[in-house]
Amino acid sequence: MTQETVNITLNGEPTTIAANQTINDILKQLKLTNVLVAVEINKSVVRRIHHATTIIHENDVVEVVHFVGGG
Amino acid sequence: MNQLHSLVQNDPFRLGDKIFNSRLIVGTGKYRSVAEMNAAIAASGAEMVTVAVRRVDLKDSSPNSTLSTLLNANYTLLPNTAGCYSADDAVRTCRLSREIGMGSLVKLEVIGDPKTLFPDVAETLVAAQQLLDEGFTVLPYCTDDPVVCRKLSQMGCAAVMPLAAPIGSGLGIRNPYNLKIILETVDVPVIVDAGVGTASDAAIAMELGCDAVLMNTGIAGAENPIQMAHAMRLAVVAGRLAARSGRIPRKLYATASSPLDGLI
Repeated sequence: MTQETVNITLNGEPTTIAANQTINDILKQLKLTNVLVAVEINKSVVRRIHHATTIIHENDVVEVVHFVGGG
Repeated sequence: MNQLHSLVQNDPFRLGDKIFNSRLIVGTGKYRSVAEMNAAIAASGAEMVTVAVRRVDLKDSSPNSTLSTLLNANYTLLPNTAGCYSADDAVRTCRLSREIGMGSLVKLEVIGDPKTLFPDVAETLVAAQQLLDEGFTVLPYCTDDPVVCRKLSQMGCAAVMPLAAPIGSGLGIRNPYNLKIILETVDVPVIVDAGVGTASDAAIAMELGCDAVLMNTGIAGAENPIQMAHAMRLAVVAGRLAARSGRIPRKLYATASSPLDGLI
């Protein structure tokens, strides 16, 4: 039996998502395509060219960041 | 005014492979609104502005108006690692900022203490080496310690950015003598980062011979940030021109300005 959902940590929040989703799928749901963001999984940056092929797995710690005002 | 314009224009400031006409770098934090930030940066004449890397607020779907405003105005973005307390976190933050797509320029800032926001020098050195190995152009915020600045410079950092006083304190240039020694010690640009409270502080930094000044709170925290931004712009230019003009030596006694001959 294949798992239908996976539990991840997304920007610090425990989150349940459908299984076998790519970073692009997640960004699409968050309406963050065409936006300047960077994605890290388990403390490693995932290059933009790999967003379409990188599957998010159970227990992954995902960070989606952007630029904000700062000194 | 035209002559002033050419004096300023003929004095480019180089950082890595970038050339700037403005020697004022400003932050984009703490403004009351994006409009106020935009107007203040325009008044400052800055060509490079700092930004922070933070989590996207997934509950707020409004567009990132700060970033789009900065990109529309064509500023060079200098991502910082503010809030990082370890070399590892600072390096991760820089990798993320490069992935966002604004190039390899980074303001490295590894904090060692939340109350003073003084840098953790040991961690800063570790992070700087790692980032340089990965091809970043590193601008490190550091203490006004000539030995640390020499090490950062020898490693290959594109500049050193000693604090003049604690971040956001507005205490001004607390140790001009250390800055003087740093200027004699390193062969990369020296940028005063942090502590500037008002225009004269910026002018003093430039008069000492510093290459540029970086500030955020000094402008954003002023009652009238736009006017203060303009004041800072003038102060940096004034200090720079004075530094290149060969000031008179300090003397204990007076020297008359009017001729003594022909007195009635």
